[in-house]
Amino acid sequence: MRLIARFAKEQENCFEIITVYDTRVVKERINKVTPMLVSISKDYPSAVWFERKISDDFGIDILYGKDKRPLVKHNHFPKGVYPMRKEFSKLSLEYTGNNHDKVDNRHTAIFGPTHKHHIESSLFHLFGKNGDILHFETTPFYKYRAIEKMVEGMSLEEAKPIVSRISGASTIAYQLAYQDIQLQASKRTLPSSLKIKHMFFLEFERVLNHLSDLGVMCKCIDFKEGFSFFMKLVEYGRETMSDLTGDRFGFTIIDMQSSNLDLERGYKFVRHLEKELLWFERWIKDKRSFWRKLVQEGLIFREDASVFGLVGIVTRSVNIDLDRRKDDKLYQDYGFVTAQEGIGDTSARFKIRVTEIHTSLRIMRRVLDNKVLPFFLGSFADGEYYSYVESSAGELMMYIEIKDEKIERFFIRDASFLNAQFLSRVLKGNEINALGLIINSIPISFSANDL
Amino acid sequence: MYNLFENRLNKKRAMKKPKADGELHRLKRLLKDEVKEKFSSKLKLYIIDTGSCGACELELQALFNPLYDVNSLGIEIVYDSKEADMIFLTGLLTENLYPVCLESYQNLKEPKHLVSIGDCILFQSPFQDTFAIKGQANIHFLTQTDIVGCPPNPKAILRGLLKYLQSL
Repeated sequence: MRLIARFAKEQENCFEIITVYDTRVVKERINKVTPMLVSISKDYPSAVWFERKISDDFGIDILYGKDKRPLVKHNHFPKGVYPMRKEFSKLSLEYTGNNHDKVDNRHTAIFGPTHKHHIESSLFHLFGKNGDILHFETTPFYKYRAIEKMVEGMSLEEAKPIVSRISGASTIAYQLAYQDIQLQASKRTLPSSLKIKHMFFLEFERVLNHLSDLGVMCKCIDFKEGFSFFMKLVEYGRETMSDLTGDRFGFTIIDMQSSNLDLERGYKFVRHLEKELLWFERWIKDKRSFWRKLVQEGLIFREDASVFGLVGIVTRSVNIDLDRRKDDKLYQDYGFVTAQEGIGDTSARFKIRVTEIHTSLRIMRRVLDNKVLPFFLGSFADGEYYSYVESSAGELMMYIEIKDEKIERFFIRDASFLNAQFLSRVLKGNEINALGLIINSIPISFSANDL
Repeated sequence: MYNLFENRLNKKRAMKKPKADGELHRLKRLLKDEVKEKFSSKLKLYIIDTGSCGACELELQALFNPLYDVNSLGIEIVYDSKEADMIFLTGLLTENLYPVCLESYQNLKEPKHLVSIGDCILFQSPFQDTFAIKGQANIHFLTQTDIVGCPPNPKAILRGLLKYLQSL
């Protein structure tokens, strides 16, 4: 079984721990007086971060946990405060002291909040020797905004703009997961014409994110022509997105409204990208100086990817056929095939991105002649709803419990939550110079992770 | 055998700049003059994301793509606030990032130029206040100008920056 997520919610007399596996959902109840939870991190190493978060959010002790350090609460967070408990409703807290960790600068390099290895604010601690990485640690929830708490008690319509802005780069994937939950709660099915339109924009977003990642990877290996090439295409894509949706990211495009796509603009984009990408592939095919910098960097093994429950491109780079899209009937109808590589290094992740862009463009091309009809949602039934979307970073899981048409519990597990845990392991033994390349090849999004 | 001549042609094609429209052309020319006059042709930017969704950062990154190419105007990013001439703040000002933001602001050399980017920092985005958010940035810091938008597109950022530089 693959662990997808593990989180807690408070009920009247107990805490409920929900553990989501790929084949089933397990719920266990623990008392509120001496809340204790037995760790599953021995069997599922990726459970460590989930359990540290449960402990921080609700004050639940983790028995036999491998790592009991706080995850969400940093040094300056007041003691004895458990923000996800129902009784907690403060809008401000007395933050105390300094938020910096005490570290020995002789052996540690600290990158952050702004550094060249990642575009968003992030804090990395690096222990190295002779140019090699001995140990690496990232600080999760560095830009913690408490979004889970923010949306509690809101109606689904009120929370929608917030969810769409959790992660700018993956906004369409987030909107789709959210819409899926709205549909489940209103017991409606989306007309295929709208599904097709939404699939088009999800693939559009994937293309832009992959192009951007490829550009940054090129920059990390000092291939400035590659960076220039991909960033030009990203800019062209953002302009096209703006023409089709009204803004450069598609913040409001996942709706129920009837709107025909601008076919000419769409075709122009797809044709241009296909042509340019084929030219680029022909150019770099035999460019040894390029591949030499990617091969054997950031190596991931198939066993590790399974044990640590990784998702997204990192799993597909070690021949694991894990992609939510392959089980989707609509994608099957459009001839979707999972892109896979076997080596598990940065070169494999580079190649998968290129293949996936071609796959997405093929799907987009076939979508362009569809007409989109209007559709409306009904009222939302109380209950628990799960949704899964394959974003450009990997599998995204969203959970919402609705009570009286309001959000009772909101939980998101982004691909970065699983993959960032694995960073220290994949970076160990690699050259320090390859740090940026490996991190960006995975990729990690802190806005999506640091809710 | 890899053809060196062909490689040179390919490099040229990859580096070819897209055509800028009239407004962008004018903006770039004016910005270059302002940077030359007021910052001796080198404006060093330090960007702090204090809790954004990442969209503002992507738009700031786009400024360095071949279309906007602000490098050629003398604008560059630095990763140490002590070296910077100007700070760009993006995102909600979170409690976790407030101390580092304050430290960076104190490190910034005089005169301090602090520019806020996007709607989050002014509390005009859909996000609501929580215990993890410090508050509106211009209450805690003296921002000189605000470039609004969710996110502001690269042209809007250039327009805002030019307007600010002209006011100095």
